[in-house]
Amino acid sequence: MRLGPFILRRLALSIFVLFGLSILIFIIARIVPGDPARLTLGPRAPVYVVERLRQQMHLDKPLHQQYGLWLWEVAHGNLGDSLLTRRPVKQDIKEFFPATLELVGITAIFIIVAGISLGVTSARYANTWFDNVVRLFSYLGIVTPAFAWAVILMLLFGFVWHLFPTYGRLTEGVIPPPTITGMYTVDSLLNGRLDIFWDAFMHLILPATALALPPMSQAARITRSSMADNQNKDCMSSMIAYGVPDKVVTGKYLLKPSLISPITVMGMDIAATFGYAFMVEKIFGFPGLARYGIQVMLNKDVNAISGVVLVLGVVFITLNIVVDIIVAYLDPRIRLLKGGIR
Amino acid sequence: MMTEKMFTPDAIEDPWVRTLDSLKKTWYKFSRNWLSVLGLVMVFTIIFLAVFAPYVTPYPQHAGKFVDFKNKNQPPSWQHLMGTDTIGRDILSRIIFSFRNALLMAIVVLSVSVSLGTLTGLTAGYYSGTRVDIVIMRVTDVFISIPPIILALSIAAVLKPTLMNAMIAVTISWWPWYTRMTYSLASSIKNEYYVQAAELTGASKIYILFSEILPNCSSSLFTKMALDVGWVTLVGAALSFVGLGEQPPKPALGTMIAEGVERMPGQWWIALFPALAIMFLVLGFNLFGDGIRDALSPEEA
Repeated sequence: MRLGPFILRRLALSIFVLFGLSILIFIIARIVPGDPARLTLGPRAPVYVVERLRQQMHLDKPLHQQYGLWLWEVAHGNLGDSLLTRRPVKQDIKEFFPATLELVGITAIFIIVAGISLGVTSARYANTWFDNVVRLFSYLGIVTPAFAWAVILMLLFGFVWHLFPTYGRLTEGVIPPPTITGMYTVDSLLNGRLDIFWDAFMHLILPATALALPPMSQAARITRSSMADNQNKDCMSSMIAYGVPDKVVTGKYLLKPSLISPITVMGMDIAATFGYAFMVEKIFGFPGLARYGIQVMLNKDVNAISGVVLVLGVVFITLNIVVDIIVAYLDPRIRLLKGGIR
Repeated sequence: MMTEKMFTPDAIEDPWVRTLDSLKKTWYKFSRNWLSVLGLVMVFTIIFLAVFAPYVTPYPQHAGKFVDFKNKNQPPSWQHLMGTDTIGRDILSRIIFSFRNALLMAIVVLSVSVSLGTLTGLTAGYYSGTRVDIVIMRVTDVFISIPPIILALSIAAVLKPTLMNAMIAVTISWWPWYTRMTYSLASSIKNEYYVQAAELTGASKIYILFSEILPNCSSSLFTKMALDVGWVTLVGAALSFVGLGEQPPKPALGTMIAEGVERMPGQWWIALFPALAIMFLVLGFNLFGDGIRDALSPEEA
């Protein structure tokens, strides 16, 4: 089967999932104890004002109508106002999301590059001292959560050896580059300011490493075991017997089938990084979406919470689509399944 | 039943002897790997410490409301092996007490998730291809479409911040993963000959689901449960880190880390030791779970 129809079916499925996710978020937003209108206005507002806002917020209508109206607003990009910052949620997200995206982007690069190269090298030199060291450390990496790594790295590299900065996105006094994408590293490069780029990049290294270590170790382990499985297949030995160069065997015929399971796992893990970023951003005082998310969660700011969850859900679904397409490209058998679902 | 037992020629047919026998074999395989045994020792240590926390901790009264400003911010010493926090409480005692809630959370979350996930997964798997399958699995897909940690955080955020609500939030984001696993197992097991044989003899659906299919999913389920104790604790710590779990003055690993981070370079022990405690917990249950997986996998001796 061609890749095109597969992608179409996959997209159709994710529209369904997105629809379901919107229902889930609506339910979460409505189980808040108390009256949303009262929460918005505070305890001292007169009853008739609250009543008017209830009508404005459509809280007097039946639940399914409320959902319909809410979905209509969300589909038009209107997520309502935040109770905490008194600004439209959309504006808040626009301000804080690029920082998180930048952090997770760097993390993803660390995970992919380091995870796969460690796994491949480890499989290449299987059962040597290098392999054993990588396996031991990858086990430690997996079981140590990102925020424990954050604390450890911060102590070692921030306070004991003073190698990297440990707070915020830029050194105090450095003026952020003019906003184009909101990501400081990209913006500073677009403006040709290498000094700002370096500063922003140094600030990203510790949080990104903390976030990357567990998934990277996982990726290395899975790459190693799936390479080791495929290495022993008959087709590989016959290719070596034919005299196909080692580089071609490993780089082309061995790597392609071996990367399928690591890519699937890495996709899930990179998406989950947005979740762990909640803690890591707080530890490093990094002003991203996750830190904003914690603030609005502690203040029961329903509109902002549903906005944050919606954005992260969309990112997660998109990542899953991308991963499924890459996997379907690598493995023709998967394209034959119905829409890639089991 | 008694009469049947009396006429059985040899004792192997006795179900108790058989269970004991298979347990012995499993233990043999499990104990071959010293890492698995280490995991088991770690798990027992954690459970022992949690159960007997009031007797094994040096300062049991520090687990609740307690202030001792004279001894605040003490670095690790022989009096306080892991130091004291900002209001003078012994960190080691508080870590051991926080294991209690961590394990309680894991037990509650996993028992509900496993029952719910197994029930839905078995049903959907056995009736795969029908409308039941489609409804159950598409609902599961929606829950799985966001990382569990974010779903748990957002549910806990709109509820009151208590341990109970944190458990509810984690459970809601955890059960679909069990549904998905049981589903994939059940939908392949239902084509086995023994299931078809049971169908032909007219066994009830309940019997087929719970006595034919479920026992054959159990080894995967046990493995995942053992591994998940660590991960549930981790998500629980994440919730309390944000401030959405057990409320102070009760000890929680996440809360302790969050407090310690603000004191970072000076009083490093406040954050570091709770972080290492989580690492110890997850490592123990991971080694243990991997050991169970190796011991229960049928192929190798």
